[in-house]
Amino acid sequence: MPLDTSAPDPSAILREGHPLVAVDGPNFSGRTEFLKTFCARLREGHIYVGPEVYNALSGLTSTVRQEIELHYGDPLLPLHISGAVRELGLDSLLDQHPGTISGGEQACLSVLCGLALLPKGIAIDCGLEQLDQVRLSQMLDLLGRNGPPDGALVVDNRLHEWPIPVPAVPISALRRGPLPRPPAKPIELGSLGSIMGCMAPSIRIDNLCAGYRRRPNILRQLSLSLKPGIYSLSGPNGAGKSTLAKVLSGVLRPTAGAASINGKVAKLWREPGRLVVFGLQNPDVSLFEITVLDELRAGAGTGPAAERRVAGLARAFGLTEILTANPLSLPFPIRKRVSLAATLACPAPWYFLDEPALGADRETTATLAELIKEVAAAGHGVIAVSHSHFFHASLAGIPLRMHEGRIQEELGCRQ
Amino acid sequence: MRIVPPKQRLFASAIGVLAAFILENWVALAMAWGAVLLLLCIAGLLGRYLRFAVAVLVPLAVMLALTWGLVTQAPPGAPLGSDREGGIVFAAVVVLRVAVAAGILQLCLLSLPSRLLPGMLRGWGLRGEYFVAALGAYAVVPEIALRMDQVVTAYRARGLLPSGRWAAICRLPRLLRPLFVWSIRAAVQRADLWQQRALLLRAERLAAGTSEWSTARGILAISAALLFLVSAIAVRCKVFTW
Repeated sequence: MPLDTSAPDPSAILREGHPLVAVDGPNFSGRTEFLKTFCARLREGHIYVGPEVYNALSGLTSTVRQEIELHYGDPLLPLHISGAVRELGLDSLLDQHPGTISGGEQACLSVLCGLALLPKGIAIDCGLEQLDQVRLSQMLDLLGRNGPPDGALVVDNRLHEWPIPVPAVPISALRRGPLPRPPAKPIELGSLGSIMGCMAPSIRIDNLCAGYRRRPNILRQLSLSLKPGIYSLSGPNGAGKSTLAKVLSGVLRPTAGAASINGKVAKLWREPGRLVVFGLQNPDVSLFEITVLDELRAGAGTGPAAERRVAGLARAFGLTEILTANPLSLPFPIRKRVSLAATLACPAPWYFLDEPALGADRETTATLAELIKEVAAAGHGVIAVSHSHFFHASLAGIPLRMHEGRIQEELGCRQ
Repeated sequence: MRIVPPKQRLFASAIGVLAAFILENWVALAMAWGAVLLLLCIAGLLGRYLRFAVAVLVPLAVMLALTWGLVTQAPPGAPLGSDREGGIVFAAVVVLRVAVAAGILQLCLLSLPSRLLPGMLRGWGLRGEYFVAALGAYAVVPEIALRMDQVVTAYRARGLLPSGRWAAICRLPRLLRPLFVWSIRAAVQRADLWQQRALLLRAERLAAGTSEWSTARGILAISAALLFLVSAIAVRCKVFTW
């Protein structure tokens, strides 16, 4: 990407004493290319951490501890790195496999590993979006106090929600020429009501316990009553939001507790994805097909109604021009959009959407929230997980908060 | 706790495996197997070994017993149907050799704390790309298991895969495709990452910093392996008989 050398140089701002500078702009405005170019060509010794946080880890180690040690190159970590491990709450995860910790914890780890390389500077591309507010504050504080000598350059779609204001340089000031054409059309509102529609049943779960072999107590006697509508689920990283999604969608069998649908006892794990379809946070693990069209068709079923649903979703999500493209070849925000459309293509009464606006800029986040409202208006139940207050405010759903495996509070009922 | 150094670990296990293949007396092999099981139990590896035994050794034993004990009813080199008992003994010897050798290799490789793995590989003389390839080979199995779990989760989360192991087996070809695509994609991305972060050099540096090896334990391991080898040769040469 051609850089405008007369534009304000972020490194000049960093040199003025700001340890952290943001590059602001919408999706597809060249922010990622700027960061990569900045790191690779212009600034030797700078490290780039991308939005695909798991792939920012080496794949050579089997524990979080080894991953950090490998990046530093010595088992005796310097004080500021071992201090950061504690501050970010990773010390209780040191013996876990890096792939089994939650998305937010992986994001923390990938940035921490970047810092363990002791780079001159670090560029973080949307890597902080998966952090809860507490961890985000800790991470920004860490980058401020113990960041690299040349500072940190950050791209983030939630800049306006950050607890600490940072100087931001608009991307328009850093690049020359016209903006690149976005790979997909904008999201189109107002068409989902005609292709989606059902009468979602109410769900009740009582004293639910669930977990995994190495972390058996993720959900701890969780009780929840869900009536059709929109629920905004939030909570700290590792609270059990994704595990709740797995239990509700039938992917994970609970170790204790009971679920009922419209008052009748149900064994959700016997028919996974039938009552609740779960849209995973990481689009890369939920895209299987060769083309976008096949991806949408995969769960839609057969017949004219299914074809109408697929066509309608493709139009609504602005995917009509890329139906023959390989989903994995698309940029991260579009991959996330394809994954969301493919989830909604599955005809189920309830949808559990994990970070549906991940990687989306402010405008797209608001549009996605409107789209989800259309789905709920058609009679579906939707539970949306996000760390973005803006997304939750745009969604205007019933707020639910999880903490340590339980629903902490039902913050009010608007329906 | 200090542990057997890499080279001594390699030599001791090579000698042990050689001794297992020299032995052709099933009673002696069974005794050696008992000793290996005891060591695996002490090292806390018995559970993993038993899982291997159920998955590999039991089917192998059944197959060989059927072939040599029931179908040919004779050991190799003897006329068909001439020595049924000899056929079964031959099958037992083969299975016990594999069982002992596998146990020794598990003791050699799995008893090592994973933090010392880079040091062991470096101690074996692996450098540069070979070093990273060996290190990656260790991480690849849990990594693939993890990714397979993610793929199955994603399929089931969209209602594309009914519950149950049999359903997953029936749709294995469909599940393998995303796994294969992911492998290629992850390999390309990680190659870039390793280069950008100089992880090869860092891994070697990490390995060089290890200092938990015990020469005394190394000598003990080699002595035990040599004792096993000498005993195996003595049994083979019929110095001892059962």
